[in-house]
Amino acid sequence: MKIIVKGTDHNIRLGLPTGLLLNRVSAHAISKEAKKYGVTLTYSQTVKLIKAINAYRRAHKEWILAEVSCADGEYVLVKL
Amino acid sequence: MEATLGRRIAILRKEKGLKQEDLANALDVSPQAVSKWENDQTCPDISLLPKLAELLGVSVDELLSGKKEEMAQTAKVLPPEERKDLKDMMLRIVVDSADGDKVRVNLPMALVQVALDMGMEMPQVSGNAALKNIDLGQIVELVRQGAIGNLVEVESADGDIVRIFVE
Repeated sequence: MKIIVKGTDHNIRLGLPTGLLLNRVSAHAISKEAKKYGVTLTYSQTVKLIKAINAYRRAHKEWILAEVSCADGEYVLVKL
Repeated sequence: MEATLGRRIAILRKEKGLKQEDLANALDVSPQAVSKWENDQTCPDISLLPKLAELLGVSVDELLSGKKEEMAQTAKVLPPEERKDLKDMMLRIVVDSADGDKVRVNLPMALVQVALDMGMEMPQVSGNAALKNIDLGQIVELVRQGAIGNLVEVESADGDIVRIFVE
């Protein structure tokens, strides 16, 4: 996973191992955190989603999940 | 999109899950030629551009300019023989806010389907009122029936423009 955050006074590039972030262990944390944002996700649903994400990732490299360009010049890119 | 033609070819090829050999075979060139394109050492012959763009799922203009023709494709229904498998399709949500912010989210249709099959409930996305009442289940059903292109275009009271298109 690559996360790029560019602003007027900062430029952050993070390379994170996606396998470390999306697995059965992190699924607990993800489902818990999702509730704070009003998204209802059980542990097993989270695992299914993670499997689907990983399957897609393996078949399609360079998947840009999200890209945000703000009017004030901030730019964020999340690539899996 | 990436600044150079070679980089764009590389990224689009990987997004399609193709190897350099696959692209080379389809275009009747050598894998070394494809490698040189992607490293910006050479450019594809002009006669190959239409087929190359088709293989990569973009227009020739988008391939050469790097500017995404997100809004160009109006919604249409493809006949069954031309439809792609759902797992190879992408749902793109594009939000252009009145403040000048631009948000692009790319969700594989396979992932959307998994979430819907689980009965996953989602509140309005990113606080945008325009997305609140959009039924993704109906959009997926439309796509199953062959619909592609710009399926949803909504302007909120705040002036945010939201588009959902499938390719």
